[in-house]
Amino acid sequence: MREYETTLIVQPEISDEGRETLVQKLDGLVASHGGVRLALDDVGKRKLAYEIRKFQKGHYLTLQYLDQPKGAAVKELERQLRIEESVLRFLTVMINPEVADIEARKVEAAEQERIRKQRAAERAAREAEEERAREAAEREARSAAGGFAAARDEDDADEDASDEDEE
Amino acid sequence: MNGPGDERDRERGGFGGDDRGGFGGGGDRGGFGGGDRGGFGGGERGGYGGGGDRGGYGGGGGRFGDRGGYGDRDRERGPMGPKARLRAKARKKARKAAKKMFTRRKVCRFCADANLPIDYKDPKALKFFITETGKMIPRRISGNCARHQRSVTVAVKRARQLALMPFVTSVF
Repeated sequence: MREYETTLIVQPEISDEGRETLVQKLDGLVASHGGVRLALDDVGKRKLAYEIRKFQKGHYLTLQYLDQPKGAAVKELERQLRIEESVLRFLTVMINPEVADIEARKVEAAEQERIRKQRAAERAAREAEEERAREAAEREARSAAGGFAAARDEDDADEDASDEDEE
Repeated sequence: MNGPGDERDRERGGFGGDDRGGFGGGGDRGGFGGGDRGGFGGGERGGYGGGGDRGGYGGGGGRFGDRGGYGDRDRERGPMGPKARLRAKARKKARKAAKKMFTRRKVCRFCADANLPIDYKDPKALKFFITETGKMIPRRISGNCARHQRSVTVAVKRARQLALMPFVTSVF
């Protein structure tokens, strides 16, 4: 079998659920046309190098799967992607012209997907953590500024300096 | 030795003013009997002494020669003492080195590191092979070998298709 990889750009405004159903549908298509689904790489939202249909951002997804040479899965998948309104663009690339050990490749791909998911989760957690920390710091700074000079505006330090100058 | 004397000799075109009729002011300019080629005077050793580029140096060596040199001949031909020849050699070497520095041999970075992937989904890595306006950088500059340049080109074209890289950007 051949290994293919289809990268697609989905509209950024589509909800997570909508994207999920789309992916489910594509997975189903691959399976029902004699392909073998390997993995999905959810790259996430990314800035586009140029505008596509007035969108500045896009959600990138990469689908990896196996298909027979000149198989139906690629054909049908691409047909559906063309029809799909929320897909801005897609590109299918052949990765490996001959995958001999399908089961091994499946296992490997599943492992890769698991690692990717784990990393994505870690990244999300880290970002959330940073976000919380930043918010906390801001709150603290605000409260400190409020306590220090309630009557003044935000720029306490500047105003202090100018006060001294006047003296 | 008698540096001043040599200077004077050279100006006169005369023989080196050493005590024994050596050819003091050898060297590349007014030299007599300096190098072993021009030398009637100097044997090898005499010649060496004469090799100083300024007359002031030469006297010592001149002492070894026992016969007068034919200064005129050297003068016409532009003599080349061994030291001068060494210098010429050095100059040539320097020129070569300078040239070499400009055309430093580039090695295809994908050949050098076999597991460096060329991936169309990685615009950060591909950025090295396009200009800031988004055009491909030629092979003679990037140093890629033909095969890898080809795969880089394909990757860039795919990345453009997926809006990961620009087709063009205006720089101003």
